[in-house]
Amino acid sequence: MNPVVRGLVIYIFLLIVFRLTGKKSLKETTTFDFVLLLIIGEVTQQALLGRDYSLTTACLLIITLITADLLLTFLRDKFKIVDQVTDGAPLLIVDHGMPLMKRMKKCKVDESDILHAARLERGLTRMEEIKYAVLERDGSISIIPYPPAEKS
Amino acid sequence: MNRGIEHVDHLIEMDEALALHETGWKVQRVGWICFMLIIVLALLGLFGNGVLSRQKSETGGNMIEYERFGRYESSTTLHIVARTVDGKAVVRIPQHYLQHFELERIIPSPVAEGVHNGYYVYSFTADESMHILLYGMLKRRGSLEADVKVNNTALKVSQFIFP
Repeated sequence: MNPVVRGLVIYIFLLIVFRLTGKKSLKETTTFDFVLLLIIGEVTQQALLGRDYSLTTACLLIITLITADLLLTFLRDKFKIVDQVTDGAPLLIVDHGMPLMKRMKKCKVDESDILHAARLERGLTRMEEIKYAVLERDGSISIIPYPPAEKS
Repeated sequence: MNRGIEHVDHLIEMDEALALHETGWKVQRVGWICFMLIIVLALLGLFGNGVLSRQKSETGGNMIEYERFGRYESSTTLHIVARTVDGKAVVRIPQHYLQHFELERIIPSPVAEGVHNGYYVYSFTADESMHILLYGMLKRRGSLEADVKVNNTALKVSQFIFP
């Protein structure tokens, strides 16, 4: 198969597969996840190159992958729906100290993940001290505490 | 029972795109089911090496066994059981098939080989019916069909090779 077609197929396939695996909190990423990523990288490399280790193919594939990424970035900038479909959208998971359990369950985030982010980011110790928590597009959790005046 | 997610009025300036989230979760579930289905089908041999893939063609005591599904540039084996006639067995493989099946090894080694009428002809000697194994690599994507002749008996080989 033509290396350009090969590169594009792999790019689109990985985009779909990783999008389907869902937004996972970065805090949940384990050492094993990294090992898994390395294995996926190795498998992808074989599928991309096959038995062709020529410099031309390597250069063609690099250009193809980078161009595909540039094109996707352009489409994301141009069309908001492409941006939201490929990268997702932020999601509120705590509202005025109340965890929104259905949303959290869908996103595979639990209270300990939120409290972990609260301690790490803001030095907060209790759920009631959190005004809002947002699961961001990149899987990180943003914590917005009550303003000091509102707290009392 | 309300199965939807909580709808909250908040003051944060952000577009949650809740409808998209909900569609996304549904698509995700369908995707996971597809992943599992693909794995099960792969285990059964839809992409080669399994019960769905094993195929046999038999006529007049001659038989060929092969993988119905293959993967591009993967190794595969044609297993032929040939009845000997006067201590000889002759296998004829169409040239067009061998253009896409890169033959690596034949066990046992043929005593003679040649080309005749668009076929590669391999001759073997044995006292009784014999097993012949052809090891090779699939070099074509899509369907690949051929009539392999064993002692002039045509045995159909029909394969589909995934990219």
